Amino acid sequence: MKATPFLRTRGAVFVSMLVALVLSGLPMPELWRASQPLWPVMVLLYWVLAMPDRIGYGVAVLLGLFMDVQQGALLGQNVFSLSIVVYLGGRFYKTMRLADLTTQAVVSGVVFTAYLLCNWLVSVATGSPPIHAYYWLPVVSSSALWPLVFLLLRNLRRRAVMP
Amino acid sequence: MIASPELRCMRTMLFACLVLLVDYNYDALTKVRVAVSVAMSPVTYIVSKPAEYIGMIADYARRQEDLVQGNERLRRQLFQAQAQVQRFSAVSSENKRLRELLAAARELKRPTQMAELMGIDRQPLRQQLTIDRGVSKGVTVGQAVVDAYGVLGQVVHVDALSSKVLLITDPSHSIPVRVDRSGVRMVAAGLGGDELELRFLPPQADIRVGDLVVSSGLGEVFPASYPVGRVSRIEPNADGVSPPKVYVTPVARIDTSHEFLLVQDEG
Repeated sequence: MKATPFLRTRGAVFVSMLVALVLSGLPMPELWRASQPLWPVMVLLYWVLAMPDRIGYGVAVLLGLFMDVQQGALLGQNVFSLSIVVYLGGRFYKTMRLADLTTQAVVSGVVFTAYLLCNWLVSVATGSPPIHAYYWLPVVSSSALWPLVFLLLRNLRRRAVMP
Repeated sequence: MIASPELRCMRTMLFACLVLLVDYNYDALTKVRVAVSVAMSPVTYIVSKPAEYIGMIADYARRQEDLVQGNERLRRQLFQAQAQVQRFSAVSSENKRLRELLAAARELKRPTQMAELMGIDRQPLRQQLTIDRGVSKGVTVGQAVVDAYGVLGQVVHVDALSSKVLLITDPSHSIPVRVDRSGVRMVAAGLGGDELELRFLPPQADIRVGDLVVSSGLGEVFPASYPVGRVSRIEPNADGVSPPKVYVTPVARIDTSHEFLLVQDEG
């Protein structure tokens, strides 16, 4: 079977999400863990922005379930939160494509905040709200690292399409 | 027909809420969870590898730190222990000295009182000790002072809290003695140095180098038969008629004793 650009792009999506899951699962000291970037959310956001017609709620549901299992959260919690990411990604992709990296970082920060807000809502609804202000730290670290992730994944995608 | 973005988002969220509700209220989704976690096992495996390494490194660092801390702690303990050992050896030698002094006190068969050294003054013209007992402890002028090995001198001056002891080696001091072996009696006078000279020797006195000289008890200041010194050398007189000069080295450890016994007067 010949690897078409389509298959290779799928592979790129798969591999990048795998790497993101691995990164978010790495053991870290307490404060580092608290401020750890939302790797899977960042990767999903990138792919939604890059291919809004192909990467959508189906991928979000799968990735969300994986994240739920990895985090030991209730099944559906990350599915719920990631759907807002997909929605906002679908809303903003035209703007984001034209924006410079700084603006992108700021807009992505809004998306990450929305994600954490949804997560927080579910936590409150199920009776285990995060009590510490550190809960919002990942917004900062994820936005700060967004340009890096964006450039890396764009490079990966271009190589997948045109080797 | 393609649903609007909002609708699609709502649909997914609704689905998620449904899943959440079921998972929150029932155990029905355990199988789903297991299935997902099986699918995720490669990720878990990859994650666990660096985690193991990081754990190993953390372990190593912690052990290193433990070792450093342990080392520091042991060093401190060793220092304290050494200080204690020093103290022990000092205490043990003090104990030995006190025991010897106690034995001497028993031997004296007279009431005694212990005193410690406060100061020492040894010059050719004055050989004195200062001890830490005075009027307040009932010390009187004329009391004999001995250590565990021999006679040291007598009290010549008493202050409120201390006393001056004239040593037997002082040039103004004399002590009636006899040679332990032969019983010959004479007087040992201080010379201001490390030796005493025997005076008033009878003609043909039986004295040899090494003889032990003890106090005779005459004069009633010093306890009888307590060691004073050993004959260190005998110098024949040049004219061949007068008795030879006999020198005695004190057996009391004048320079090293720290504790002394004050001997009560017999009367």
